[in-house]
Amino acid sequence: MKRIFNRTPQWLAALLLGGSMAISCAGNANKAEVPSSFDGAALLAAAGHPDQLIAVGDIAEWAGIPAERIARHVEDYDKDPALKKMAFHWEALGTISFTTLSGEAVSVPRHHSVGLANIEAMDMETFNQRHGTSVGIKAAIDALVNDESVDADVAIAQANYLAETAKSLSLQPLEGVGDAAVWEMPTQVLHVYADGVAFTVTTNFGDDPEVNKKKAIAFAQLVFDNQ
Amino acid sequence: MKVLSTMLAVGLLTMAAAHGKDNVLQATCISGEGCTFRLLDVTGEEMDVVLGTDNVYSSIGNDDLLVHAKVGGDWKTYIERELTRSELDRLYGGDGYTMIYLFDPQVQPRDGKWEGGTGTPVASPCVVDVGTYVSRIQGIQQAGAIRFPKPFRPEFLLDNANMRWVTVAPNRFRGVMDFGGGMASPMKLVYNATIVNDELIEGAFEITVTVPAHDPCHVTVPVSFACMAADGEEAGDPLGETEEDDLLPVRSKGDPADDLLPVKSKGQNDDLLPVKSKGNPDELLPVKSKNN
Repeated sequence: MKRIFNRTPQWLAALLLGGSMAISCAGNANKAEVPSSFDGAALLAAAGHPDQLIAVGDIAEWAGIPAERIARHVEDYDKDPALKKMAFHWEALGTISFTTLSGEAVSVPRHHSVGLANIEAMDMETFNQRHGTSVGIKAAIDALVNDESVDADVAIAQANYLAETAKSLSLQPLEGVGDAAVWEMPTQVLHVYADGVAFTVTTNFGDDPEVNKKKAIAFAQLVFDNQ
Repeated sequence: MKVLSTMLAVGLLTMAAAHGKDNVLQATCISGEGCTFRLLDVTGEEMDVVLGTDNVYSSIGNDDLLVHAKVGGDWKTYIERELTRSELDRLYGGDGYTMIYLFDPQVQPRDGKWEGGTGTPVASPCVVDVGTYVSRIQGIQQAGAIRFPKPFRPEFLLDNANMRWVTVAPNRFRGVMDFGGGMASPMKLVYNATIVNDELIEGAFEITVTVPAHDPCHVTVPVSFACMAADGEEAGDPLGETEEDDLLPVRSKGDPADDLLPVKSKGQNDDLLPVKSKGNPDELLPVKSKNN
């Protein structure tokens, strides 16, 4: 597939650059300390309504993006609150270009996003085992196998995918982020533990993992400070 | 138990490597929201048959993805041959975490009071009398309360063992009844349906009869279903709607003539329609009174 990443207007680039600088100057980009005001139980209670956890205005200020350009998306396809996902996204540099089956050349703008998922009560030992090792993926495969409600073909495809993912899995413990944290590659997500609650920060600020990691840590700090 | 689980997992992965990759993996992508994934219950070859295309979907490889990307209010379809699920999700602004869903969560008609009706049939000159079937399709003038299966499945629109449904786009479906004859079948019933929005479904039945030494007969009957009054937000178990019995909640009117494609014994003249009703006299309109 042919894909072209085009340049977008200079004002947008300047805006994004300014926002990035503001974020990087806001504090230590590699730390996310848990303030005494943080209440893990409150975060857990809000897990069923992740869209209410953080206001668009807070994201706008955090990201340096006008609030009217930020959209919120909630993936609420499962009854389990821990499987709900919430993300904020906004138009970013570049486009996604492809050729349709009918031969039409199409381009759509790319987006950046930041989100929160997998809010779940657990102790630190469980957190370290689930997110600090490959046990989590093995458990997910076991769960698929044991879940009779899952279509067999889907279970096979998903288990195969998870097994492939496990081959390239890299888990990096991070000091100074929550009570414990793990940066997961190649998915580029940050698993955080604090005050009896685990959550996952998802970031998509382009292809650079280091940029995404710093943004994820900064967003974890925002979650702590918003409680 | 743990040993058993591991054995099963290994077995599943072995099966996946052996023959579990034939069905098409579909991605529905919206820039900013990432992609959701669904394993279709058809192969690329079957999609080509249903959609009448020549080696378009058959070319989808085991590691390829059939992508429906939202562009404005429309869906554009292409085949992604390079990126993994996670990479594609991230390209569209998602988080890279992906799951395969049993359904496409992007499209869901609203529960409520719906009315269904047909438009004027358009027919080519035909040496075969297809009027019986057209009149039965035209008999759709019903209204009633509908609770759609959640997630929505096209089988809800016309559930028949001989009907093969393909998701053309997240909101467009094409069902073909060719009685096993494939492209060469002497008679085909095609049902194209589009969920225009959550309160309007439009579509058309296309009947094609191929007669040796004559031009084929084409009859098209437009159909539409409109939500006249949506239900209020209802609590409950939405997943419970996916029970097989709920796929076609048709209220029987007790009139055998309502069968769209009635079964005739091979001893009679019409062997072209080997359709067996599944117990619903009227398989066309998924209307069910809540009072029943």
